[in-house]
Amino acid sequence: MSGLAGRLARLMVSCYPRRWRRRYGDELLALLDEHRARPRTVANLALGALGTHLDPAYRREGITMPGPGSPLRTAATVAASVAATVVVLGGLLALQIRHEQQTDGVLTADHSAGLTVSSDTRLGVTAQADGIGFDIVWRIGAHPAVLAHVDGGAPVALTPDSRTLLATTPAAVIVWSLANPAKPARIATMPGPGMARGIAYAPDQTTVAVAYARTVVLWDLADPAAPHRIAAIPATAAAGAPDFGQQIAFSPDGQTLATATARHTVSLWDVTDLPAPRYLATVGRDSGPVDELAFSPARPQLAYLSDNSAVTVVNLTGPARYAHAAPMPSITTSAGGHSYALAYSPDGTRLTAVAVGGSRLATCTWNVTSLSRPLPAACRTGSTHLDGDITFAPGGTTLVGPDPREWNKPQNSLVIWPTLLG
Amino acid sequence: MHQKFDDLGRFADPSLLILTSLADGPRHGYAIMTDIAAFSGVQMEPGTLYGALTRLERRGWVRPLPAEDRRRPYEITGSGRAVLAAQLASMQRVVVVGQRRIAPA
Repeated sequence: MSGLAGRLARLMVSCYPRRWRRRYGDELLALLDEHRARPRTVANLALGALGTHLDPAYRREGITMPGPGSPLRTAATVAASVAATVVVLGGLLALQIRHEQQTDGVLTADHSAGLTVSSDTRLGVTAQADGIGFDIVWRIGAHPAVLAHVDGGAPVALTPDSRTLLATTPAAVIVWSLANPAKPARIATMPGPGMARGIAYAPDQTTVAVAYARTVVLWDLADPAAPHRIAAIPATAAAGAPDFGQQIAFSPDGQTLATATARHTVSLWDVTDLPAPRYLATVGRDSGPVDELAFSPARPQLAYLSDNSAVTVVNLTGPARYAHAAPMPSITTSAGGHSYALAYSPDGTRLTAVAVGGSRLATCTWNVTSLSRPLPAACRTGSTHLDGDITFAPGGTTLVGPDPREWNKPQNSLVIWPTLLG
Repeated sequence: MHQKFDDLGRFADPSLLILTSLADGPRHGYAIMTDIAAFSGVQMEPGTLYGALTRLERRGWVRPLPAEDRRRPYEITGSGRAVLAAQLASMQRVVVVGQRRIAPA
């Protein structure tokens, strides 16, 4: 019996989708070399194969059962009866799996490439990866839920009023109307030279800056359905900025645009006259790739957070522009990769940085009212369940990020940490 | 009426058992199955194991290591460890309350 069961079990492995078999087939067969197969092993693999075919990630392929010409005639008969059972069970399973798929797999490690949140923190969008896959529109708050999926990847940007979403594909930035967040409508395309690295809305909610490797393109989205290209800033226009990084932000008055550079500094542009942007300066010092960038809402000041957990604060006025670097407590992560968030308090007196990784969290708050002496900092570290991309909601008092604690309930995974800033 | 502990579902969740098995080091498929049988008594079948491994890998809670002679070891990730810790803590609360309530007065 075990010989027949063993052969049937191998037969069932060949019923898995081809792409799945390419990844797991060999090791599963190796396992069956060691495992004594029983009839329930066969049934279990049949159900596994069916479940995998129903998995959207593998759904496109057909099920290929061996034909009646197979030398294992008896085997085929048993397999057919197993398959018949499976079809009946499958109907029930399909409902269950479909239900799971609507909420499953949305905040995985590979679905944390981008995160953006509306200013009222009621709507969030997460991105699967840079420029590919799909983005997920979340309702967050007391009754969190997945509202919709849209094509596109990171970077993503929401208008502060959360009525328009910009999502990145390899060839263009796609404009989605979120008038009904549960049914996003694709309303326009903003083509660019390659894949966008960063997107920022200006305070007027109609001007958008899209950063590419070699250029930043300014768009007018007064009518989101008809984007109008205003100007393009070539990277070469900035001394010492051969390449743009991912971070890009407008100053609160909308007159200055800051872009991270590949030299790990920040270049500033005067965009008072949008059709004719003017290079101002490159500020800051190289302390690693720029991960977060924030303008003070109240002072001529900007801050950026580098990949090595150093925060640099730059005074934007006065003859001698002053850059002050303040290190944060470093956190280590076995999973690799940190996520950062950086925000000023609404009155611009305090700056808070957060780093998350490997179940650890480090946060520092600096008093940035005066940059003439070392910044007094209040730092603490602790453990956290946050995992993946984190961000401050507009206004800088609310931290949002994925919480994987809710086992099998990813609809609850986007959490708000309103008390973090105290 | 007698019910098997497995019928409670959550306590025999394949993902939970696999993460627990991987918590003290990488293992390949067959080693995961024998380890789970040893510490929990659950005889997990290969279809269940690989279904759960596929999902765990997609969620980023386990990651595959290079195959050793067709057998591929898996290791738990930082976020997998966090999820496991949170789940065990929640079960621990149930265990504590349950044990207190069934203890003779």
